[in-house]
Amino acid sequence: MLFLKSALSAAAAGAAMALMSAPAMAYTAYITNEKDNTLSVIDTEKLEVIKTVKIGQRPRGVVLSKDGKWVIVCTSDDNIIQVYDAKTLEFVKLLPSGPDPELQILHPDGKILYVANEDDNLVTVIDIEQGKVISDVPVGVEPEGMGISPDGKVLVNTSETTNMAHFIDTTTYKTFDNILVDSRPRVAIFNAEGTQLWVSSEIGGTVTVINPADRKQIAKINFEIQGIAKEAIQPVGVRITKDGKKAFVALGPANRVAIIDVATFKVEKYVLVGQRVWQLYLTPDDKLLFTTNGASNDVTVVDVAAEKAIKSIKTGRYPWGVVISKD
Amino acid sequence: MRYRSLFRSTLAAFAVPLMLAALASPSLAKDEANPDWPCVWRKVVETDAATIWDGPSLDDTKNWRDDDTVRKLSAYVIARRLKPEEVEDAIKKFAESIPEETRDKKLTELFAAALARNNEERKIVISGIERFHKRQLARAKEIEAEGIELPSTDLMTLSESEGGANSGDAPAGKIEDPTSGAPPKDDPEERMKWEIRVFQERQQNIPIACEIPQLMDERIGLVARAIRALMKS
Repeated sequence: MLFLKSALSAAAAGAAMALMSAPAMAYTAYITNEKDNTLSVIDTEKLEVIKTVKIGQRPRGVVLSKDGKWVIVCTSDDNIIQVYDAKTLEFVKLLPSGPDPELQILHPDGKILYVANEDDNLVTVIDIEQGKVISDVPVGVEPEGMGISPDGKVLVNTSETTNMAHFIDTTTYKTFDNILVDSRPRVAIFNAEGTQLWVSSEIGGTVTVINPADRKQIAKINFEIQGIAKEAIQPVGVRITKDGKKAFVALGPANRVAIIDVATFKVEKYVLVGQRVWQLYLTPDDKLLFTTNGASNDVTVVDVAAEKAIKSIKTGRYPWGVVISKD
Repeated sequence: MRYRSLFRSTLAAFAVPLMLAALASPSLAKDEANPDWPCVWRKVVETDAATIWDGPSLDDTKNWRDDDTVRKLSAYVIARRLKPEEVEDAIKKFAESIPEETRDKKLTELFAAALARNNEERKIVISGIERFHKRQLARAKEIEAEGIELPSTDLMTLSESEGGANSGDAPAGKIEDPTSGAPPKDDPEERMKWEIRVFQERQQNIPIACEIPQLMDERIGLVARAIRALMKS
């Protein structure tokens, strides 16, 4: 059954589910809808929206606290971070940030949140329990992508205009290296071992894989899709399975997710998903990949083993960020 | 006159950098290959079928203009004033009116027609946004040079096409100029303030205009999905 057909047909959902290689666990996915100012909550077993709540203005980057109790959202147009209870979805508190917070990442110890403020060229370091800013780290122009090494020692921020990955020491809050990457870097992510840093470049149309130890380039991944103009292929979201074997790259208005064999850095497959796919997240068991599709106002669910899109779930308008809880 | 000259130079000194900063927004991360493109989104002139279509090849659909129904319906379904359910209903009615043996062929033709129309309009909108941005750059320079001589009726025309499928939409082709009217003729200070205000208010329209290609993407994607849901092949 073709994906686009099945996407609209509720009856087809059951058949599509049968394609899945193993039963899905019930996790909870949280989707920020940039245009609607809402948070859509999805049950990953039922694959349907179970709740939608109004939150702050222009919600984008979203993470969960380490204990899974808080959903922490960059509400960009409110110039602040909002915290919600992951179960009840009730507002808990605000966290300070700089202007236009866009993406954030939590230190592995769960105590410190790092926020990229698009409008002030700073990364804000926040103690989330105390709700206090500990430090501000100057970076390049229009900071966005935020990656942290698994040992928590190195924070990487990408700046969209300076076209750099900035390596920051998390004990001193000082930048110790800056690496040029292709134009408009959007996302930075370490593999689970901490031996690779993947940086996507939206305008450059590439993903650069860097060795964090010496900051040298390991590989540069290019994308080609028959029938689609090069400029429509805009890499943004990146996710890597915990076993380090497969990587997924969201390609924006090409409406594809590239599945990459990490051993060779070759694209194995392009999966057709919803329109303007930007951010990605894997379920904790690495069986399903959720994609946010800003122009079709939905989330596509990709079966990782089958490498197929199995369901499209309507969300609010301009879905942007996604995170999935273990609960 | 000394005060007046001081005022003008001060105004220019503060206002012009602000204007140039405004020209750099909403995103500073420019696409270097397209310097006249002011939008956050990377410039993509056409929507390729492969981005939204997994159905039969469009190779045999080149004569869609010969079918009056397809020609009219394709213009109708891309009109952004329509609600999504109106688009889906219209496509469904069309599908039901066609015998099953030719249904998929005609639905494919309808998609090809809607995509062609979408892309024709998309090109016009994109070149309109670029022209508008270039005019703003020119205005900023003129104000900077204090040699302002702007026509008072210079409404911002973003599109040369009027009365098309989206003529009822706002803002599709034209953006209304809230500051239209005659500039003060005799007082250079007032004139300059007026020009700066015009510039700034026009500048605020750029993010609105930049959203049009996004809305077009959203619509053509909806059309593709609605058509595919009714096809067997």
